[in-house]
Amino acid sequence: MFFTQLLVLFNPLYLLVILVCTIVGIIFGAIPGLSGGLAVSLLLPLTFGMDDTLSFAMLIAVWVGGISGGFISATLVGIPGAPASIATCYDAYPMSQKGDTVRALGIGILASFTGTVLSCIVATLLSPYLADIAMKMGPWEYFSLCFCAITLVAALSKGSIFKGMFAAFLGLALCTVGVAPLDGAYRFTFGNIYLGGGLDMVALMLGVYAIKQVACDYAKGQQDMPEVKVGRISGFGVKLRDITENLGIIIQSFLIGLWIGFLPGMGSGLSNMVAYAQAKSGSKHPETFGQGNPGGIWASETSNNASVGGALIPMVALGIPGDAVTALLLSGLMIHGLQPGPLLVSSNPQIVYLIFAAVMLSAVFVLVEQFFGMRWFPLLLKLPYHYLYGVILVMCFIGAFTSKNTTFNVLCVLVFAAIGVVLDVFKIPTSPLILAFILGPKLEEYFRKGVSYAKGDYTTFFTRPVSLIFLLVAVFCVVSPYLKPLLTRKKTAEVK
Amino acid sequence: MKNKERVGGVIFALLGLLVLFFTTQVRMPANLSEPGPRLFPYIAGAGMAICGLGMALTAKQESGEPFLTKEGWKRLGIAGLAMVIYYIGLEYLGFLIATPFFTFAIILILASGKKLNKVANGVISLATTGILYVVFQKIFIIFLPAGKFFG
Repeated sequence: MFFTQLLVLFNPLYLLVILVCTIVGIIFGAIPGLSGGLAVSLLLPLTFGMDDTLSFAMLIAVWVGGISGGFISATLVGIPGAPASIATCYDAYPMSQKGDTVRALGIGILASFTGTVLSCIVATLLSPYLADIAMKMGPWEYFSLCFCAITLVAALSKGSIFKGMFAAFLGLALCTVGVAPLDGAYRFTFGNIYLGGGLDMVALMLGVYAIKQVACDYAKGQQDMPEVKVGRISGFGVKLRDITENLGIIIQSFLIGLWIGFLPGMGSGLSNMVAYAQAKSGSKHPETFGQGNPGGIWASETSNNASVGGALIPMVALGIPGDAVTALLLSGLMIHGLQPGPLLVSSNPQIVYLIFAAVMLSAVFVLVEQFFGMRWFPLLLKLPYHYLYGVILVMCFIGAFTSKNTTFNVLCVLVFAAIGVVLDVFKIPTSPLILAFILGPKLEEYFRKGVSYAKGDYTTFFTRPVSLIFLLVAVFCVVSPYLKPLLTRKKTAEVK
Repeated sequence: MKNKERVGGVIFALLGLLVLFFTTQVRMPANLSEPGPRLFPYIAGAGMAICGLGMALTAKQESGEPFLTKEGWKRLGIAGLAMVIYYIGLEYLGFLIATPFFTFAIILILASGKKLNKVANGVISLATTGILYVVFQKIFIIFLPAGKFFG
């Protein structure tokens, strides 16, 4: 099935779309402030009128390009294009400053490719098995799984746990607007016919993600890039020795990235830091890290790209997005009338394998484009922001309109952007809000169905073992930050 | 900084209470064997209120730069105003008339006083409008706002 879908993509139109979208993704990934996620949210409305294959080829290509492109600015100017490439700066930039720019870029390109392709192979092989297991679950387990995912994202967000949880509850409140599941009761519509259908996912994404980003960057005056000072860029830069000497780091970082990507809420933004720290602590010469050690670049870039496949596994097999970008892809599936979850693998296997095939093909395109387009990387960072941001803003407004075919949705985008700014002011993370907004309706439906099937018995959520495990994991995530200091204090007291 | 966090926490808690209040007005169908449509809004409202209070009570003194300077807020206000005007333009004048003007204006605003080639800006504004119109309306047959005055 995988190869059949791969062959489907070998159509001139799809290949052209993947080629263009991977380039767009690389550009968005390379420019600090923009990201692959932003590119996905901008392209999402464009897919309304397209067939499934073209839509997913487009979204996946821009996503893969975006994740990979983050290392370009990290290498050339020492500013990560995305949080996924923070650790890349530590060694790629010093290496570039020493005059080894081509080698640093070459390692980044090859590491990105390795991480994406290997993780996609694992995702292709594992997802059907995970979906088979998930098929045996009832509404109780699904409720607990969704609850666990939201709690994980909220509890593991940066800063205070109250902030993460507040964002999740806000997302839950927003998703209850409109007609309630099961009984069709109207909630928080205040007589407005547009609110009857609920708030729009695309409007939320564009407002909280894209417009807020552009407006805040402008307000902070963060539109100017430092000057790119690199020598002549030519050749591919990577030697076989660079690979063989760092094979251990590559394998270790790949596994770290895959696992962290698999867990909800902990995407490439975390995996690159963990993999880098592991590579440094396991090295015989940790003092060389931060001064242009190729191992540091391998660790960061392999792990952040391995998170791509890792995040695809729960998205495809369980319908649970790992982060904001996979949440966007998930909403893309929903827009096309597909129901994400374990049934997707059995009812629409062609879509599932198409996604994997698109990731694989996009990774190859990104590899070729980056190796041959390396000399133009400095130009990417000289793109005038005002033109780029101006066009992005217009696309956001039009995307919101086309999503529901009403200007009321455009107003919603503005309100969501304002909410995004307020959350930013108080350093409240947006990922829990987005995840709760997407999973909220499912969470409510499964909970109410679970209670209804059990004839009003709430204890079923705790008496079914799988459901109980998910609930315990969720509770542990919330409680653990408070338990840790208590345990440490107790241990210290015992030692004294 | 600490005060700002406290005030924010209290406002968020009040927002949660507001959600709780409006939830009481949701109609409950009779003879339900499950919790009904009020449960999740109640959970959301109560959660927001508790977390808001938690934020207010655990607010810490934070050093560092403020989120935006006074000038930054002014810039944000101008960008926001331009977007609101564009929304009104889309509503009444439609995509084809409102978009080139908005694109031109927002590029000028985002350039923050840098020297800008007005002809290039005009070309980009018109090209953006034209390309989006052709791609959405002609290729994918997705309708764009026609405007109340013309629709």
